[in-house]
Amino acid sequence: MEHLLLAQEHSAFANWLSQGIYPPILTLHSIGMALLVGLQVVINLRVLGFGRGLPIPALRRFMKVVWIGFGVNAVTGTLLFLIAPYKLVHSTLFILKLSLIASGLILGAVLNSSLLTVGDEYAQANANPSLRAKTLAVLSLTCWMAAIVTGRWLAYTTFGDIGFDTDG
Amino acid sequence: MISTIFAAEPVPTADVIALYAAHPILAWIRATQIGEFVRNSTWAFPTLQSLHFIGMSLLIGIVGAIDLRVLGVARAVPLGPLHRLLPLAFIGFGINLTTGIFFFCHDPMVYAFNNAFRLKMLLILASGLNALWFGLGVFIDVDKWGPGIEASYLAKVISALSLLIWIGVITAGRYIAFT
Repeated sequence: MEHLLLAQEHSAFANWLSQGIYPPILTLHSIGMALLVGLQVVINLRVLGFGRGLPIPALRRFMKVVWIGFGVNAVTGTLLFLIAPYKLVHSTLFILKLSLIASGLILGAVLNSSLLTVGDEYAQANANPSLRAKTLAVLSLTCWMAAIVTGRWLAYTTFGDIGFDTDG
Repeated sequence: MISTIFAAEPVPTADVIALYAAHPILAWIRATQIGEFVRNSTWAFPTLQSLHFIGMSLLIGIVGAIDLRVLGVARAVPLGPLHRLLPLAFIGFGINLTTGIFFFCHDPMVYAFNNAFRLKMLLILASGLNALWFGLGVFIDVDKWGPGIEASYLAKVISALSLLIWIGVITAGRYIAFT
């Protein structure tokens, strides 16, 4: 397995990904992130009490855009992974980032099934969710923010020495 | 250039010194405490970057949700209360303006003559003007677009533009490093 990862890391395909199409992949990864995390932020903020007047079940429609964002990032993330798979599987930061994303997705799915898909989309505009739901929302926000932080630090450590570590 | 973040402050080369000598305002910005702090820190740049992306998800998440609702995604969402989340989007913008100033001071020459950066600034300005158009043109109707009620054609045009401009801002931002 290890030598397979190393072979991929030194393959022409990895070289093409990093030298040829790296900027558009990174761009799509950022746009996907804005959709995925951005809309999760909106949903979690409403659960926490911001934006009273928004019926929480009505927000379920945003979940399909969240999944589109996740799809974009799963694909672009896999391509980014294939640039340096050997280095990444040995990076604690990378494993942490993947765990945070998995936790964020699970929390999002739990909130979705226990709150967003329950009841009439046009009702409960001023509902105040349970403490359990609010706790899940705080955890979810924490996971997504931490996933962003680990992702950014990865760019300056694992990917930094490839030389593509900069932007603003 | 920026890839030297994990090293101590690099000694500027002769051409860099000459460039800054020709642009005293940029040299002054570079010499500020902010610039010096970011250049000399090993952790400042990735930390500021993290904040820049968190601010971005707050800003574009809320603005994007409003735009998507106007365009008909999640029509059950009443636009009025969604639009009242906008102050939080401004907090996101504030985070990104502040962290952006830190990036700029860190090495003004990298940004000032970078076409992707210039385009990004123009697009942010365009987005501000577009938001102003929303404010003057359709904001008065926002509370009328309650659950299930379709927004006006003009509002949809403005929101579609808004989404395109913000996608452009992200794209131009990512291309700063490759331009």
